[in-house]
Amino acid sequence: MLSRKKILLIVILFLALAVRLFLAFNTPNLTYESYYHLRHTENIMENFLPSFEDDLSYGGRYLKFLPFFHYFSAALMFIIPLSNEIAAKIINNLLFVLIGLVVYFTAKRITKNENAALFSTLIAVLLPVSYLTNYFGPLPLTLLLFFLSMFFFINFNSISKRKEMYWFLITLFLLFLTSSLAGLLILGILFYVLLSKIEEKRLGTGDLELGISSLLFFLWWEFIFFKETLLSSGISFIWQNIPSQLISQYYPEFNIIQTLILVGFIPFIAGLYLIYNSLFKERNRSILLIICVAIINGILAWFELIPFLTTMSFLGIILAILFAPFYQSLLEFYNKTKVSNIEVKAKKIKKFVKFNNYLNLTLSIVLIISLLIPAVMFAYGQEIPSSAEVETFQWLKENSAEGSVIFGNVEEGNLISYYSERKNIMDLEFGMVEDVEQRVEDLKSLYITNFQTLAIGIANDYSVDYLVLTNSAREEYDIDNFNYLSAGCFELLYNNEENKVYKSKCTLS
Amino acid sequence: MNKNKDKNDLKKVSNVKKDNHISSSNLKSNITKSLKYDWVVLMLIALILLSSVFIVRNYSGNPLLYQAESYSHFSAVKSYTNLDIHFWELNPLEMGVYLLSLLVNVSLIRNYIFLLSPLLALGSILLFMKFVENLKLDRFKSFIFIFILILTPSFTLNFSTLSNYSIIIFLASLGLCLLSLKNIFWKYLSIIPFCIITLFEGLSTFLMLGVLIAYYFQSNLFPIIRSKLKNDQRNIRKDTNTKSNKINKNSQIDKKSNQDGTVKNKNPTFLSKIVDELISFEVTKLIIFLLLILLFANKLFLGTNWVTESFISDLFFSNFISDLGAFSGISIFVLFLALLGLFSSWKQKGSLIGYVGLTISLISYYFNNNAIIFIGLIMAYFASDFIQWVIDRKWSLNEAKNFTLLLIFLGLLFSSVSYVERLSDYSPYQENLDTISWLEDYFSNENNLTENSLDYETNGVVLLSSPENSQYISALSSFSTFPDISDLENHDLDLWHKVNMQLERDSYIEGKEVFSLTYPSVLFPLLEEYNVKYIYVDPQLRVEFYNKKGLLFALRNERFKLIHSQNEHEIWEFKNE
Repeated sequence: MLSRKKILLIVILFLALAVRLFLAFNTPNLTYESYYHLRHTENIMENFLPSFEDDLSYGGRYLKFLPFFHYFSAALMFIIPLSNEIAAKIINNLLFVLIGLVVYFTAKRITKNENAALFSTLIAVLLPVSYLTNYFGPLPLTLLLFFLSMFFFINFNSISKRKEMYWFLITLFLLFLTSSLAGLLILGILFYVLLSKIEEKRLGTGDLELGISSLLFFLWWEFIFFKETLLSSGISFIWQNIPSQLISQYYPEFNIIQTLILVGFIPFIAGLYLIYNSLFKERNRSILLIICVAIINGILAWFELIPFLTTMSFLGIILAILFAPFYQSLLEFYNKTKVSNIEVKAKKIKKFVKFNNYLNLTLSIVLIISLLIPAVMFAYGQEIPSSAEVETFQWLKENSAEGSVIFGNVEEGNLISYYSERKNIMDLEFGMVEDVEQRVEDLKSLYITNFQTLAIGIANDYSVDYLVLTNSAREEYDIDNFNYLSAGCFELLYNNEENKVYKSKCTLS
Repeated sequence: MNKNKDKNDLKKVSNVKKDNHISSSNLKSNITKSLKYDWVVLMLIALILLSSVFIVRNYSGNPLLYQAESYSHFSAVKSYTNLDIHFWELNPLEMGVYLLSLLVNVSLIRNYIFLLSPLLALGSILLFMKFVENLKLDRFKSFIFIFILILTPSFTLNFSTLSNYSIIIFLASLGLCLLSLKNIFWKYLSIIPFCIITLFEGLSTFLMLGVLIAYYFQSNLFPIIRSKLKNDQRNIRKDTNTKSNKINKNSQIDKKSNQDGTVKNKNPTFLSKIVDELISFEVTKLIIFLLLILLFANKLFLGTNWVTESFISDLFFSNFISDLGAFSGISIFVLFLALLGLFSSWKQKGSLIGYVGLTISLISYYFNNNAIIFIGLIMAYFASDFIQWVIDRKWSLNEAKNFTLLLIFLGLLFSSVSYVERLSDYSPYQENLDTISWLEDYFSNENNLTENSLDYETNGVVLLSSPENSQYISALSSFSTFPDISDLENHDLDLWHKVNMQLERDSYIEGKEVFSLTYPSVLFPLLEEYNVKYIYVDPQLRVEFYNKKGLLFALRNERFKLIHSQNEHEIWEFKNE
C-alpha cells in the first residue's frame, strides 16, 4: 500500500505532466532549435548511427554532438506509437516532470522530512523556467541526469555505500554522453572540497577522490570526443562559436526581476536565507555541496560560459531542493517559539488545528499561484514557427529541386533542413563554422539591402536557389518585402499568408 | 538490519584503505625496481615520439626541417655571409651552422640538420638523469617529471625543429651534470655551457640563475643546517641513550654526505673536508656571479633578447593550450594536473622556486609566446608532483585511484599523439619549396641570369608573402622578403598586415561600396615603396585573409599578373608603372 505522501507525490507529478502536455498541445509545432535535434533523432532511428557529417546544415558541414539524448529519444519514439513531433513533446515534458521526482528524493535524503520533500517537488514541477513545453533538446535529460548523479553523490557521501558510488559513476558517464554541462557538477564537487578544506570541515568518504577522478575523466572524454572542434574553434568552443551579433540573445544582461519570475520569488528568498545560514552558521555537507554547485553555476553564468536559460534552469532546481531544509528550519523555529506551546495547550481543548496544516495549505496555495502563472506565461512566450510558416517549408520540399540551397532567417535554418530537406545557408548550430560572422552579416544584408547587385552577389556566393520571406523575418528586420526584387531575377513561386518563396534566377558575371 | 549493513560497508571501506596503503607503497616500489634503466625508457619514449614526427611528415611528403625558426638560422647565416650583419649578432647555434658551412655544403647541412635536435633531446635526458643520480634526488619523481616533459607539445616542437631552446636545454643539462660531479675539474668545466646559454637570451639565463641558486642552497646551506639540527638531536639522545657507539657511527655517515648530496672520501680529514666544501661552494657561486654579469653585459653589448624572437603572433590565450589549437603550448591535461599539483605541493619548501619561475615565465610569455617552453617545464614539475601525490595518498576508493592513474596516462598519451599528428601540417610544405624554386628559375630565365649572378641581381627584389613564409623564402631563395631578416624587431609591422590593415581601415571609414575605388591609391604606392615585384599566395594565406578583402581582392587589378598557379599556390607579378 502506498502511503498518503507517496500518493500525493504521484498526484503532483501527474497533474504537472497534464498541465505541461495541455500547454504543449495547445501551441502548434516545436521551438526552432528543436527541429535540429528531431532531425538527428530521426536519423538515428533510420541508420542507428549519429550523422556528424550533415549535408544540409550550412550547405554541408561536419559537426559533432553528444548523441545520448538522441539515442534515448529514438528508443522512446520507437515505443510511442505516435508521430515523431507528438512523441517529442511527450518525451520532453515527461523528462521535465521526472526531475521533480529526483528533487523529491534528494530533498528527502537531506531533510528526512516527506512534507519538505513534497514542497520541493511542487516547486520543481512548477518552475517557470522549465516550462519550455514545446522544446525538444538535451536540456531536460541533462538536468535529470545532473541531479540524479548529484543525488547519488550525496547518498554516497552520507552512507558510504559502494553501490551508490557505482550509480554515481554510471549516471555521470551518461551525463558526459549527453552534455558538456557535466563539468558544472565536477567543478561544484571540487569547489565543495576546497571550501571544506579551507573551513577545515570533515570531508565525506572519497569526496576528493571522486572529484579528481571525475574531473580527469571529464577532461579526457571532452578532449577525445571534441578533438576536432577544440582544435578548430579553440577557446571559443565554450561559447559554441555564437556570432557576436546574436550573443546577447544567449547571454542577456542579468536582470533580477526576470530571475525572480523565472525561478520563483519564494524559492529565491528561501534559497538566499538558506545559503546564508549554511555558509555561516549550520554545517550540513549535502547542503554545502548543493550551494557550491549553485555558486559555480553563478560564476560560470557571470563569465557567460553557460547560456542564461540553462543557468536559470539549474538555479531553479537547486532552489527547489534548498526549499526543503528551509521548510524544516521554519518548523524548527516555530517549535522554539511560545506560539507552539499555545498550540500544544489548544490541542487539549481541541479547538485549534495544527500549525503545520495551516502552513502547508498556505504555502501550497502561495507557491502554486506564484509559480504557475509565470510558468503559463513563459510557455506561451516560446518562439515557435507558425503553422503557415511550417507549411511554406513543407511546400518547398515538394516543389524545389533536390540538393538546392534555400535562404531563410537564422532560426528558420532548422526548418529548412527538417521540413524542406534542403540545404540552408545558416542555422542555430554555429559550432565549427569558420565564417559564421560573415554569414550573419551576409544574411542580414540579403534581407535589408536595396542593391540588387549586392543581393545577387551574396546569393551567388552561397549558391542560393530559393529565398524565403516569412512573417517572423519580416517583423524581425522591419521590412514589407525584399527591396531588390525584379521580375527578371527573382520569381515569386509561393505566397501563403504573406509567407513568400522566390526563385533566384540571376548570376553576376 | 540496515545499521548493520552500513557498519559492514564502513568496515569494508576502512579495510580497503589499509589494503590501499599497502598497494600504493607496493606500486611505487615495483615501479622504482622496474625502473632500474629508467633513462633507457625515457630515451626510448623520446625517440619514438620525435621520430614519429619525422615519419608522419615524410609520409605526407613535407620537408623534415620545418617551422620558421629552423629556417631563420640559415637566413641569419646568409645575412652574415652577405655582410648584412656582424658575426656577434649570430647566436651560438647560428655560429655553429656557419662554421659547419665552411666545411660542408649548406644544402647538405639543411638536409640532415633535422637530426640534431632529437640527438640533443636524448643527450639532455641522459645528462639530466645522471644529474639526478649524482645528487641522489627522488628518482621516481624525476622519471615522472621527464616523462611528462617529453609529452609536452613545446618539448616535441623544439626538439623536432632547429630551435634555440633545444640547445639551451641540452647545455643546461650538461652544465648541471658537470656541476654535480665530484671531480673539481668537471665542476669548473660546467662554467662553459652555462656561459653559452647567456648568449641566447635573457630569460633562460635568469631561470638558470634561479635553478643554480636553488642548487646552491640545496647542496651547501641546507645540508649544513640539517646536519647541525641532526647533531643537536643526537646530542640530546646521547645523554639519554646508552648506545652511544651506534649514534657516532650514524653521525659519521651523515657527515660524509657533503654539499651535493654525494658521499665523499671514505675517511676525510677535517681539513680536506673544509677545503672540499669551500671549493665546491665557490664553483656554484662563481657561476651565479658570472651569469649575473653576462645577463646584463650581453644585453648591453650584444643586444641579446630577453626571449628568443617568436615567429608567430603573440596571443596569450590562443597560443597557450595546444589542445585548443595553439601552435605549441602545453597540453590541457598537463595544465590541469599542474593546477592540482600546485595545491598538492602547496606546503612543500622546494616548490617556491617553481612558483617564482612560473610567475616570471608567465609574465615573459605575455610579451613573447616563446617563453611557453619554460611554462611547460615548470608545469611538468607540478604535474609530476600531483602524480606522486596520487600514488602516495591513502585512497579510500582503490578503483578510483587506478582509474585516475589510467586516465592520467591516457590523457597525456592522446594529447601528445594528437599534437604529433598536427605537426605534419606545419609549414613549409613541399609545394612551398617547389613554388619558390620555380620562381627562381623563372626570374633567371626572364632576366637571362646565370646561377652565380642570380644572388646579385635579385638583391633588393622583394617577394611578398605572409610573415610565416618569409623565413624559408629568404633562407632558400635569393629574394628579399618583408620583414627583412636584419629588421626582425619590426616583425609585427610586416608589409602584408600593413597593407591589409590599411585597406580594412579605409573600408571601415568610407563604407563597403567605396572600398574597391580607394584601394589602388593606398596599395600601389606601398608596394612600389618596398620594391615588391612578386606576391606569393599560398592556401594558408588565403584562409587567413578572406578572398573578398584586402590585397587578395586587389589582385583582380590589371597591374597584377598571375604567373604561376599550382595546387592553390600562386605567384603574382606586380607591374611597375
